[in-house]
Amino acid sequence: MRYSSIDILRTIAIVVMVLVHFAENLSGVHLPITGLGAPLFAFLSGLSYCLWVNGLEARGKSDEEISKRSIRRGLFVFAVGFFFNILVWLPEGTFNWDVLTFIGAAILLLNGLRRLPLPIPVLVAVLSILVSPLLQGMADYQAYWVEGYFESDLTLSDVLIGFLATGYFPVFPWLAYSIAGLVTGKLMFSSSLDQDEKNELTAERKTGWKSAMIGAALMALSGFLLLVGPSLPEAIATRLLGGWHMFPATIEYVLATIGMAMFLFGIGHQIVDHSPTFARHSGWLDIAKTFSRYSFTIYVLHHLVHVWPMWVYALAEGKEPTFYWQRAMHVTIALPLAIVFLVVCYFALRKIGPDRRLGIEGWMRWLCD
Amino acid sequence: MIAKDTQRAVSPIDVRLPAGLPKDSELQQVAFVSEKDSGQRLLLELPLPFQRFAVEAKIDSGSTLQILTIPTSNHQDADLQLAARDWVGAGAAENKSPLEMMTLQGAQVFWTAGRVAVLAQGDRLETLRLALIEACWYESELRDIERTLGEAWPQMEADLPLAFAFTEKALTKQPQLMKRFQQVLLIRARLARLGPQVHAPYLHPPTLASQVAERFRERSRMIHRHEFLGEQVEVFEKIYDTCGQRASDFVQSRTGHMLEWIIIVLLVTQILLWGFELLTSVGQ
Repeated sequence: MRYSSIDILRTIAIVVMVLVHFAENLSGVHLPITGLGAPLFAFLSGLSYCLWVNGLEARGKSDEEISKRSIRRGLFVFAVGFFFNILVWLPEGTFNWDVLTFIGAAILLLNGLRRLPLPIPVLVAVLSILVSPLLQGMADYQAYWVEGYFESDLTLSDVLIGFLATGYFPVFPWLAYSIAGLVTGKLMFSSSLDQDEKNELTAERKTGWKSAMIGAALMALSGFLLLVGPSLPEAIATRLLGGWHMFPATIEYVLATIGMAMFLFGIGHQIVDHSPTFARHSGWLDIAKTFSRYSFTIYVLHHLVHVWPMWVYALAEGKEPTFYWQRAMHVTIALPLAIVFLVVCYFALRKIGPDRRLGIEGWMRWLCD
Repeated sequence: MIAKDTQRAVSPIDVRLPAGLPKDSELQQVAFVSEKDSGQRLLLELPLPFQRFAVEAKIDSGSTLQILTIPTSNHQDADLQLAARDWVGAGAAENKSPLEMMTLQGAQVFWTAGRVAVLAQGDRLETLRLALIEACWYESELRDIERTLGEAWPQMEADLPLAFAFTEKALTKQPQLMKRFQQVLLIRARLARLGPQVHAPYLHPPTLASQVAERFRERSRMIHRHEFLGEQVEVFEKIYDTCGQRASDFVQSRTGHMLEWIIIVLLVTQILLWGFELLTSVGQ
């Protein structure tokens, strides 16, 4: 079953990321919405994985077959992440651990976690959040970040440290987002043995509200920590907490953004998926569905569209490829360009249609399923 | 409670007295209730284990049983038999149940589910009526158990795999399984309560009422039906008992596994921290 709420949230995530990346990479401007798209994207990766597994189980696929497909998909996304890093951020950015390599690794881990009792994934998520400040402290996080951007040596230890703790999207604490999505999905959509559809729907609705409430509670907890953080002992305030940062993702940031994702999904599921009023707005839902279906492709494509011309133009002028990075144009031009990209992208993807044979999603299905 | 009592009521079709009957003929609506109102006329108190009273119900109230008594010195009167038979037959057609009949020592009885007609001498009618009300209650109980089990059969077959293996996903079904097991036990209890009445030896010396009740049991195959139901309930009991056992075992082992996994996760975290420290020291 396709849930419009997930399509809408994924569309929001992709639109936020396109706007943020255009503004940042072309103009060096950090929009206020920076740091809200990736958490949503990571959360939805866990949620979609859960729904995908449910779908395979409903079609009678064996556990072994699901595991094999999961591993193939995880490795595929991981490999695409590396190609993406090399193609977009040039070979020196191969190991910058972008969101695609993270999602690939997360799918591999979720495949192991999906069979465990729910409290175990929750424990892993909590530990991944709590352990990350320790890992960041042990690795001297700031030493890997130069002028706000991740840079590391090409040594095995630095590569592993980047993957685990200091990269753009390291496993710790970002794994917590995917697990939160998986757990939310399991709680909400895993009653496949209940044959009573009415009861199933009621349970879904109840869990939807619970998800929204837990999300709100996590956001409130984050707000509380941000408020009392400065007055706490220095060891806790600086080593464990750390204020509102995406790089490194602090406990407050992770709690608030997981809370935001759960809240938006819980509310969205209640309002959109079960409401006949929203079903009437099929035009908007079609737009969301189109973006959602091709979110993976759009993520890669929008980087190629706005980053490559800068590299090519600089090379053509005999300069360093990254010469125009963050100073190519004013933000008032970069943002309209982002909107133009989204509009063109929408019509192009509509023309391709829903069969997903041409995008990266299609390649993934062809290779992994 | 009353609503529950009358949930097996037949639909109140044509509750008028059929035309052409003697003037003392009477159509009585009977309801079986667990608590009788002071305004209700008590007809019969069923044996103690049932905790039920047969009371006279209002016309069109959707009562459990309609009983038509026709006083006559000639129970073989063709017109009266036809009228009684047609009246019971209408109920049989409506409830899709067979029409049965018996002739015994000057009494003629037609019956189907929820509807009985008796032709007999006026002075014998009251005892016959009470005997038939009691017998009809036992028969309706058996019929209700048959219906309940018949409806539950597909669900039980769907639950059958859980008697072999219980899974994480089946945990959401645990309360439902418990409820179904309770329902099976309740049915077993109902059957056990019916047993002494269904299997009761013939009364000696016999009376017309006792013979009518005994013949009613025979014609309705109550003894055999009771035995078959016992066998069927046994199947249900066995399956849901095994499901309960499997679920209980699963929950217990799950708790153990969970504790093991918690320890594993904590150990992995410790190894991760230790390995990471090693990595950072190598880097430096």
